[in-house]
Amino acid sequence: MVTFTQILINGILLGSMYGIAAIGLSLIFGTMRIIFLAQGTMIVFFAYVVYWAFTLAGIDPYLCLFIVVPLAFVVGLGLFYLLFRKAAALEDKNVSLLLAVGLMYLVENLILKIWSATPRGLNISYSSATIVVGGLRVSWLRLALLGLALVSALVVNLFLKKTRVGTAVRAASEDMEATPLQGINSAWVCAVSFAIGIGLAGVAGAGMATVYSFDYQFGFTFALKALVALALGGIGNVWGALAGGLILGILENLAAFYIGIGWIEIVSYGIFILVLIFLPQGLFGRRGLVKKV
Amino acid sequence: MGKDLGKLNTTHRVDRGIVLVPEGRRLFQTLTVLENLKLGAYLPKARASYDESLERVFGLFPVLKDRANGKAGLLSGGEQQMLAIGRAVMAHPKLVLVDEASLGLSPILTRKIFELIVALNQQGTTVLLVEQNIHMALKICDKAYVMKTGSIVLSGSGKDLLANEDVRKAYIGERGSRL
Repeated sequence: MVTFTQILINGILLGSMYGIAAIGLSLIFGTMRIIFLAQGTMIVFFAYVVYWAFTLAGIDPYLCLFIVVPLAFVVGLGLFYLLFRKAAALEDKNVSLLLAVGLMYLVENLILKIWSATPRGLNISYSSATIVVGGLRVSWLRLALLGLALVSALVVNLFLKKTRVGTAVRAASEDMEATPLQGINSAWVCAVSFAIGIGLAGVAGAGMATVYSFDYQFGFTFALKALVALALGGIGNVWGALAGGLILGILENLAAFYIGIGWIEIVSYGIFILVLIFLPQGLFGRRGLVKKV
Repeated sequence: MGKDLGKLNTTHRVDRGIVLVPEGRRLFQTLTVLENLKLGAYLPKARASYDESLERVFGLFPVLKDRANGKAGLLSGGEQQMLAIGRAVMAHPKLVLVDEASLGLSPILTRKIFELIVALNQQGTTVLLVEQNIHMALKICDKAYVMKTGSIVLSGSGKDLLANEDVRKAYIGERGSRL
C-alpha cells in the first residue's frame, strides 16, 4: 500500500510537468488551432536558460522563475509576430503547424550548438531535502512541481475568466471570425495566448531543470506527452488539461512498476489512440482535438 | 460621418461607431450573457460608457438581465437575437447594421424583435436592416431600398414601397412583377 501510494505521488509529480505543458498547448490550440509541437523544445530551452543562470550566476532556479517566465512571455510575443502572425490568419492551419515543426528543429539544434549533447541537470543544495509523511518520502523539489502546476492553472484560469483579454481569448477559441465584429484585435488575442503558452514553457522549464536531467532531444517526446495529456483532459478547460497531465503521469508510473519500465511509452500512446477513438472530447473538455461534425 | 471607410479594418469601423449584428447571430455560446455584452463594449471608447450602455440594453431587453449569468447558448432563439442586438448596442454605436434579424424566428418573435429595433431607433441610433421579411421591414422603416443583383433598383419611404405595385407583386405574393 505504501508502495502504491509512493507510485501515485511520483506519478502526480511527473504529471504536473505534463499538465503545465498541456495547459500551454490548450491555450495555443484554442486560438491558433494548431498543435504547437515545439512546446516541449521550448520547455527544454528554458530549462537550459535556468541551468545557465544557476551554473554561471548562481541564481536559484525558483528565484529564476521571476526572470524566466517574463522572458519566455516576451520571447513568445516576438515569435508570434515574427513567425506566426501571417500564418495564423490563414484558413489553412498547416502552414502554422509546419512553422512549429521548423521552429522545433531550429531550437533543438541551437541548444545542441550552445550546450552540446551532454545531458544536464542541476545540483541544488536542497535537492535531497525530503518530507516524510506516514512513511512516505516526498522530495520538496518534486512537491514544488505540483505547486507550480496548481499555481499555473489558477493564474491562467483567472486570466481567462476575469480579464477583458482573457474573455476575448475564450470568445476567439469559440468563433475567431466573430471577434473583429466586436472591435477585438484577433491577432493580438492570438499573440497573447501564444505568449502565455510560451510563458508556461518557462515555468515548466524551470521545474524540469530542478528535478530531471535533460538533453537537446528531450523536447519532442515531452511535447507528445503533453499532447496525450491534452487529449485525455480535453480542450477548453484549464483544469482538465492539468488533470489530463496528472492522470497520464500516474498511469505511466503504474505501468513502469507493475508491467515494466519498457512499457511506459506503449501505455502512453496506447491511451492516446484509445482516447481519440472512443472519447474524442476528452474526459473533461467541451471539445476534443477532433471536432465533432 | 463623411469619411471613407473603405480602407479601415473592422476594428476601426467598430471604433467609429458602426456595428454589425451578423446573420445567424454569431454569439459566443459558451460565454455568459453578461460576458457577451462585455465583449460588445471591448474598445476603450465603448468601455467608457459601459454602465450606461448596459442599463440601456437591460432596459430594452429585460430578459437579458434575468439571464445575465447564464450561458448564451442556452437562450431561446428570440433571446439570442436580443442578445446579438444588445451586444451591438454595447459598442455605443451610431449605426447598427442588422443582417436578417428574423432568421429562424417565429412570426410572433419576429414582430417582437422588430418592435425592439424600433425602440432602439427611437433612442437615437440609426439602424440599417437587411431583411427578407419585406412586409414587416417596410412597415417599420423610414427609408427603404430594393436591391437586385447588387444595385439599387427602387427606393423610397417604407410606406411608398409598401404601396408600390411591383414590390407587392415581387415580394408580398401578388402576381406579375417587373422587379
